[in-house]
Order: sequence, then structure tokens, then C-alpha cells
Amino acid sequence: MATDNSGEPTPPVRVLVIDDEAQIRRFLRISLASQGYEVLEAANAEEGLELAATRAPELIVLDLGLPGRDGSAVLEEIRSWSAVPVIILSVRADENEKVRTLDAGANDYVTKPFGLQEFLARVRKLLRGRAPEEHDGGRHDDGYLMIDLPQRRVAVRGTAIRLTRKEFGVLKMLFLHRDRVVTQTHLLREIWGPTHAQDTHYLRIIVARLRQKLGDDPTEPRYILTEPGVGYRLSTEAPALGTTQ
Amino acid sequence: MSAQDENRPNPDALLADMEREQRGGLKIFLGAAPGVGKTYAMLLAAREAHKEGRDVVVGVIESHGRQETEVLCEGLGRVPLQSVPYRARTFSEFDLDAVIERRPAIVLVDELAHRNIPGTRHPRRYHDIEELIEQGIEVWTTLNVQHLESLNDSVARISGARMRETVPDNLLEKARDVVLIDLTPRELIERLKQGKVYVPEQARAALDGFFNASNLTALREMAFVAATNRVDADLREAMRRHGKGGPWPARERLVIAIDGRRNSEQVVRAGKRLADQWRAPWTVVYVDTGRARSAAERESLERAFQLTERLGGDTALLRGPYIDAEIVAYARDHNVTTIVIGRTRERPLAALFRQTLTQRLLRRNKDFEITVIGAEPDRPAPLRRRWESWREALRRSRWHHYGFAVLVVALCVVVCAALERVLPLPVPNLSLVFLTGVLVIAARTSLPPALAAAVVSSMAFNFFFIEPRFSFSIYNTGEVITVLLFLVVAVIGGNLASRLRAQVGALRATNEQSQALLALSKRLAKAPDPTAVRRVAADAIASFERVPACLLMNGEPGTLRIVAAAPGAVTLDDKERAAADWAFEHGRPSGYYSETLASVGWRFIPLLLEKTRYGVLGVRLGELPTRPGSEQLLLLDALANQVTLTLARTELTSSLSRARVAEETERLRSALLSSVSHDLRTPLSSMLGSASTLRDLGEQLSGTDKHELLDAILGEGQRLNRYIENLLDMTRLGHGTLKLARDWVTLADIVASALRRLRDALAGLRVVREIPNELPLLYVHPALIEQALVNVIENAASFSPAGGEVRIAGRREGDRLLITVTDQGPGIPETDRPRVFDMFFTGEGGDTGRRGSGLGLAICHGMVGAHGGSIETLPGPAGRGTTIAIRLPVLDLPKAPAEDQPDGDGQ
Repeated sequence: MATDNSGEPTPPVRVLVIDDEAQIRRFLRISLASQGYEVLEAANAEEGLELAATRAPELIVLDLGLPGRDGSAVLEEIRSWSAVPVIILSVRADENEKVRTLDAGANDYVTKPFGLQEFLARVRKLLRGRAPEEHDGGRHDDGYLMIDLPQRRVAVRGTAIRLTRKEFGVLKMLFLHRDRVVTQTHLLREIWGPTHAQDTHYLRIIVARLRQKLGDDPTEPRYILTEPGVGYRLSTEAPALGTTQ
Repeated sequence: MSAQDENRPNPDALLADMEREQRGGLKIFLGAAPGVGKTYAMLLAAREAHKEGRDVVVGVIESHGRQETEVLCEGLGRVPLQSVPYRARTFSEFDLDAVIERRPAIVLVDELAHRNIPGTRHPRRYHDIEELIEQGIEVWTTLNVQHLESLNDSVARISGARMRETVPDNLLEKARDVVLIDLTPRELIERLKQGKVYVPEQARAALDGFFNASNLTALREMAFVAATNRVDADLREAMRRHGKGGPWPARERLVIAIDGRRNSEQVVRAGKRLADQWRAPWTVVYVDTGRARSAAERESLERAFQLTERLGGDTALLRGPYIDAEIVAYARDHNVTTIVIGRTRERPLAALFRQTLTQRLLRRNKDFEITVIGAEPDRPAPLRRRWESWREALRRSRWHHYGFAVLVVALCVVVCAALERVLPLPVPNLSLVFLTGVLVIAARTSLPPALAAAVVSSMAFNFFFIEPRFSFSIYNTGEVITVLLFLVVAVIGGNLASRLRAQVGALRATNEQSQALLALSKRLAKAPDPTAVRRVAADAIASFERVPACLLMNGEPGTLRIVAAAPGAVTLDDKERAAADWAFEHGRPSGYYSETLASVGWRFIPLLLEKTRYGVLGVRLGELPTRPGSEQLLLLDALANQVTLTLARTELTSSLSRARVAEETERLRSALLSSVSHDLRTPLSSMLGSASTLRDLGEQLSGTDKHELLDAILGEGQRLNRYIENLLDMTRLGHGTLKLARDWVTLADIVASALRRLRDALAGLRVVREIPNELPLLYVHPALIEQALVNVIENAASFSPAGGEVRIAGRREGDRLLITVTDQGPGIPETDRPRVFDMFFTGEGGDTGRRGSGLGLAICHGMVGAHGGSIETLPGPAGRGTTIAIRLPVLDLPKAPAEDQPDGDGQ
């Protein structure tokens, strides 16, 4: 790259956008470039796979509705040789598809139409999650909520709260993937076991109690956000509430 | 009907006219006798038409090897004849299918009266021609007047030769044009002598007698009359069509009563001629009194009924003890104006005791006109016919009946002997014992044994009880009278008793038929849907006739398929299928015992009501041990009729509801389109406007202006997105393809994501949420309920005054979860409240002036309804604003989650 010389502190991060819609690619290129990313564009699955293999992007933005080849097939192929973070772009009404791709290894998703801020925040989270200095030793404290995984302690405004095993398990899973969506099937499988993957009501009840204990308003949650039909996301960035506008 | 009405063009006539226009035309070259030059004239006309550029082909021309005919055919297209093998020989026959395939404008088919070789589709050439006409092909043909069905008797009287190859008279009526080819008898005889008329060798002798001046004159006159009648009919039809009023009497109806004697066919023909003259519909009836019929009578009846069908009349079979009463009752029921009967045989002796049918009919009513046809007297002398019917009765009575008779008489002898010992009765009284015996025999068996018993009894009475005993001689004159009187009384009594028995039998038969009809209609009435109706129909008919039956329905000719069969599955071969198609296409029975494809074992009866064809009923009558009689066929027709009526009823019901749905859908579709195009364009135009302002005037705009425009683009974009989501849901709901992907969710989660989506719409409003933590989970399709809530909240927001409050509350209400959304808007007038969930209803002037697509609440209604919930509009608390209340069912959790342990930390 032109910027790849010793004078620069870090080389620009390379992001690959795979989407057949030229308008979407253009708006992503402009916005991502404005944030200092280097943007690679692919209009179809083959082109995208080729660029992913040859140019080693650090993040891939993948549209699920590619012509000809299913987006999830592309994801599968990428996952067969790379652990690069992947953000899925999809439309509403596709909850099952979203869950499938997330379970198949996608790291996050954004529903079209989406706001730019939301999208950029997701991109930042994914790229940061890879940086080793971000590891905080399983501890979090924002002044209101304190989570200490190694000590198995959770406190609200300094007061320790008692969680059941399941409640703690859910919180731990969400915290380990904080700021990223965790699918409900993943949570159910990990905490209740594979036979309970469909028993979403277990999860709903636990999450409702968890929110109550954390003092999180369920109709306008601050920490445990619901991704309808997909799963949950633990937000550690105040006031990180879903949409942009 | 007012005079004015009468002068209006008659719709029936116009319809008949149109029908004639649509079908191919028929042109008949009519002549008085062979040799007048019909074929020649037809070919000349064909050449003329060919020259004018019309597509004329020769279907079949009987040139009989004559050069001039062959020469005329040259230049015209020709459809080759087909070869039909029959009895080890091959015949050339007109190829109907080839002509239909060739589809010429006009086809020449010589000799209308021709009889086809068995093995072709139809037995007669005029059937072929009818089919061609129905296919829209114009047919030109030739006909000698002597072949007309209704003239058959007259021709036979004149010439002494009866024509076997007759054609129905209505062909002449159906013809668009009739061209009379005339030649004076003298010229014709001249031509005959010159050998210019083709006469087959074997018929020459017969025809020589036929071709004499007087015969030919009579035939010529008949041809004239037939042609003139045609002209007359044309004229009347034209006048009716153009509404030229004349005294058109009310529609007459003619009933022709036949008795199954030899002259029945004559009576039918004569009656038909009368009906033609009056242009009246006509029905041939036969009254079955239960009297035994001879084979000859049955056959004659059969022929008369078949003739009726050929001539285009209806048939009816009546049952009852009195012929006159039945006929009069039928006539009264069917608005009959005229009854036609054949002359009843004069029996001088019988006339003393009994009136003739004519007299009885005349006495019975004064409302009808009665026409007696002077039919030619029965050929077999009355005595011989009597003897025949006797023989028939004898054949029917079983030998054990005679045994029974002998036994009874013997018993009578014993009883009388015993009585004589015990009681000193006068001898004549003993005859009453014998009389009782005769009556018993008559009532239990039939007439012949009863009459035999009467004779034997009188002899036994004489032999055993009248002096001198054990001898047939009688001393006392008074006792001679006793014996004779006994004989007379016994014969009359026996006759009466046996007749009574026969009538009971007839009644039973009628009863059986009514029972069958009643049973069928009962079973059909219970069938809930068309499929069941079909199954029941096939079942009932198969079990009634005791042969396989099937029902073919659906689709255009050639695509008929078996929709029901009984008792088991049925397969039809190609020929049977062709017969079924034919019956469906032509609306007439085909197959077994019909005039079309009679070699097939199935009889196919079209299910026809008015002009709608519902299908074909197939019955494998060929499997019956005996040939079905016309009664059986009539009953079958009645059953088929019942099936048709039921099919028509169910079809009508379902087509009505289909039409209703289609109409509703169409109305919705057009409303949707107009609403959508408006609602999509509004945000689009503000987005386009804002964006173009930014691009073109960017530099001159202030920072706040730019920001405002950008906000507008974003806001309108989101609004557009919501509309589109609604539309997508709408189509999913509307197509019935919506499948609920239910999941357990908390109301709080749904409210949260709905509020997240509506953040912009709710800006500047206070949103109060009252969702308790302990609410039960909902088992719903989350995205749909979320959309419903989005629509309700958006609606509340758009009607709220600035700074107003939107309150969203959840509460458990028994087995329902109640969700309310309350605004502080102007409220909805009570009359409009139920209507807000109608599609495209938009309230009159909300405070903000913002108008939705009118789809939102309707979609809520649909979505909540799909979950078994309800939605209603209520006035807001304290009469201010509006509350929309959604109730969703609360379901039991499938299984309680396992007991949760406190986390290790606390221990």
C-alpha cells in the first residue's frame, strides 16, 4: 500500500465489502474510508472470496442476499480457512436466517436499512475485540455495574447482587461476547444443554430476572439489549442503545 | 303483456338467430325424387362459391360414376373418403374427422339420408352433418322429400313403399337455406328413360312402380309444401325477430298419447306435424296401467319413443289405473292445450259397456282441444292382437299358478260337499263358495289361471252338485241359468281381481321409482360439498342399476376425467371416452342403446341444465342381463337430472362465494394500489426534494438548514421503510401464506424494540410505559406483534398534540394479556370506532395533520386476529384521547424450567 511505510504509526485496516448493490457499496466505501479504513469492494460471491483469500482483509461485510450464491454459503467457505470477523447485512423478517449465519460463525449482523453510526460502532467493536490490549481480565466496572468473572461477582452501585447459576451463566456468556449479539440457540445450548435449544421461554425468564436484578428497564434496556428473534447483546458502552438516529 | 311489449324484438328469436349465425350453416338442396338434379345444382353452386374465393371442399359426392358429376367436382378440394372394414369387406365412407381437421368454410356432403356403415362414429349421415355444423363448418347437402320423417306415412300411402332411411324434420328447420330443385314429372320420367337417373340394379323393379306420373306429382307437391313451410317459418321468425306484432298466441303445448299399438309411430308423426304447424313444444306420453304388455307392444312402444327422440320431442311415462285420468292430470300440470290421440278401435259390443278413450277424455274435461288422428287401423286383426296379449299373459303366468288354481277348486268341491251335509242349503248358494275360490285365485295369481278356474269351477259345480250328479247334463232349466250366471260372474270377478293385482304391481313399480329418486335426493342433500355430491351420485346410481357407474366432469371436451366411480375404480377405453366426450359436447346421450357409438357398453348421459354442461354420467348398461326398457332409461334420465340439479346447486354456491372473494380481493387491490402509490410518493418526494436542494444549493445553505434537510431525508426514509414493511406483512396476510413463527417472548422486549423503531416519530412526546415485570410470557410471532404495536403507537403519536403523552400499558386479564396504548389526541367519534380497523380508513384531520396509509390499524387487526387475539378502540380515560386495547391469549408454558440453583458465590 501507498501508506505502508515506516513513517506511519499503523497501516490502515483493510475492510472487504461484498454486496451486489452498487449504491450500498458506495455509501459503505465513503463512510468507511472517512474513518480511515481501506475498503475493498466485491459485487459477487466469487469476487468476494477471491479478494478475501488474496488481500487478507481484517473485516468482511457480507450481504446475505447475493445473487446466484447464498451469502451463508460464502460465509461457510470463508470460515473453512479463516477466522476473520464477518458482519452480515440482511433484511428484517429473516430472523431464522440471521440466527443460522450467526451460529455458522458470523460475528455480528446489521439489519437493512441501517444507520451509519450503528454500523460503524459494530465495525469498531469487532476490530477492537481482536486487539489483545482490550482484554480486561474478565472485569468490567462502569460505576453502576461491576462484573468480575474470575471472582464470580456482580455488583450494582457497589452492592453485590446474588445471581442463580443460570442467571450468572447467561450474564457470563453475554459478557464474554460483549457488544456483540449472542444468539438465543447458542445461549440455550451452552447453558441448558443441546436438548433445550428450542426452549426459549427458559431464556426469557432468566433474562427478565437478570434485568430486574441489574435494575435494567426491560422496555428501554441499558445493558442487556434484545435483538428480536435473534438473541441478546450486552452493551458495555453507555449509552449504547441500538439505533443511530 | 302490453301491446308495446309485444312489438319489441323477441329475445328468443334473436337468440335463436344468433345461435344460427354462430354455428355453421346448413344448406339443403331439396328435391321431390332422385334424378331431379340436386347434386348437380349443389356442385354448380359450389363452383360459384369457389370462384368467389370461398374454401369449398367435397366431403362426399355420390356421383354413381356419372361423367358430368365428376367433371363438376374437378377444381374443388376433396377430402378423401375413409375405408371402413365391415363384415370382411371394406367400404368407402365419408371421413368426418378428416373434414373437421381440414376445417373448410363449406363442405359438400351429398345424400343427407344416407345410413353409415356400422363402425363409423354415427349411425346416420345427418348425425355427421350436425356435428360439422356444431364445429362451425357450413354444410351443403341434398335430400329427397320422401326421406323426411314426418312424411314417411304419407309417402308410404302414396307409393306403397316405406322409406327406412328417414331424417328428422327439424334438420329442415335448422337449415339456413333450403333450395328446392324442381323438375316436372314428365321431364323426370324422360330422364329416367334416358338412363340419366341412377337407380341401383336391385331396386329397379321397385322403383319402376314408384316413378309414375301420379307418384311424382304427389311427391313434388310434398316438396313444395315442405319448402313453403320453411319459407313460412322464416317469415314468422323474421317478424318475431323484428317485433312485428301479430296475434302470437300464448305458447301452446301438445301432448301426444300413445298406447303402444302398431299405429303409435303414425300418431307420433302426425302429432309432430301438428305441433310444427303451431310451433308448439310437444311431448309423447304413454300410460302404464299395469296391464301385461306383449313383446310386440313393448317393441312398438320402444320404437315410438325412439322416433319421438329423433323428431325432437319429449317423452314421459305415466302410471295409473285410468289412462284418461292420467293424461288429463299430466296435461293440466304441464299447461297443455291440445291432446292428440290415435283413433281408438271401435268395438261394437264393448261400446255398450265402456266408453272409448276419446269419449272418456271428452267427458273428463272441457279445457283441452282433443285431436283424434285417423291412424291407419292396426294391421293385425284385433283378435290376433288379443291372442298375442293373451299369449303374453300365459307366458307370464307360472305353472304353479295353475296348480294353485286346481287345488283351490278341489278345496271348494270339498267345502261344498261338507256344507251340503251339515246345512241344507239351496244348491245355487254353493256357487258362492266357488266364486270365492275364483276371486282368491285371481287375486293371488293372474288372469289366465283365474279364468281357467272359473271355467273349471262351473264345470265342477255342475258335475258334483247339480242334478243329475256326476254328470254334465242338467235337468232343471233354472239351474242352467245358475251355472251360466256363475260362469259370467266368475269371469268378471276374476278379471277385476286380477286387474286390481296388476295395478298394485304397477303402483309398486312407481313407488320403487319414487323411492329411488327420493333416496337419491336425500343422499345428495346430505352431501356437503361438490366432491361428496359426485361420490354419492356415482354410488347411488351404481347401486340402483346394479352395474358400474361413473361421473365424468371438468374441463373442455377431450379433458373430461372420471371424478367419481362406483362400485370400484373404472377405466374407459378410447372408444368409450369418445362416446363420453360426444355426449358432453352435444348434450345428448351416447353409447349403449343410443344413436351414437351404440357399440359401446356404457351409456353416457349428459348432465345438462339449461345451457350449462356439468359433466357426463356413465352407466354400464351393457352389463345388464336384459336390454333396458324405456322405463328404465327414463328413470335413469330422472336420476341424472337429480344429480345435475344438485351439482348445479353446489356449483352455484361455490361460484357465488368465489365471485364474492374475487370481488373483495379486486376491490382491495385497487384501493391498495391507489393508497400505496400516494403513500410511497409522499415521503419519496420530500426525500428527493431535500436531497436535490442539498446538492444544488449546498453552498448557500446554513448549517442548521442543511441539518434539517438531512433529518428530513432520514425521517422520511424511515417512514417509507415502515410503509414497506406494512405492505410486505399485508401481502403475507392477504395471501393466506402467513405462517406464524411463534416464540416465547416478553411483552417488554416487544415494546422495547417497537419504541426503538419509533424513536423519531415519538420525538417531542412523553412516552409512559407501564409493563410490570411479572407479566406472563406471550407465545406469538414476535415480529408481527411488534409491527402491530409499532402501527398502534405510531397512530397514537400522529394524533397526539405536541408534548402530549402516549401511555403504553400491559396487564393480565384472566387468560388474556391486555395491552393498551392511550393518546391524548382528539379521540375517535363513537360511530367511527369499529371502522378504524377497516382498510384505508383514515381519521378526519388529526392534530398534526399527518395521515397514515390507512393500512396500519387494519394490519394490526389482521395480525392480532391471526394470534387469536382481539383489538378494539375505546375512548381515552376521562373522555380524552383514544385507547386502543389489544388482547392476546396467554398460553401455558410447555414445561417449567428446572429449578434454578443459586450461584455458588452466595454460599
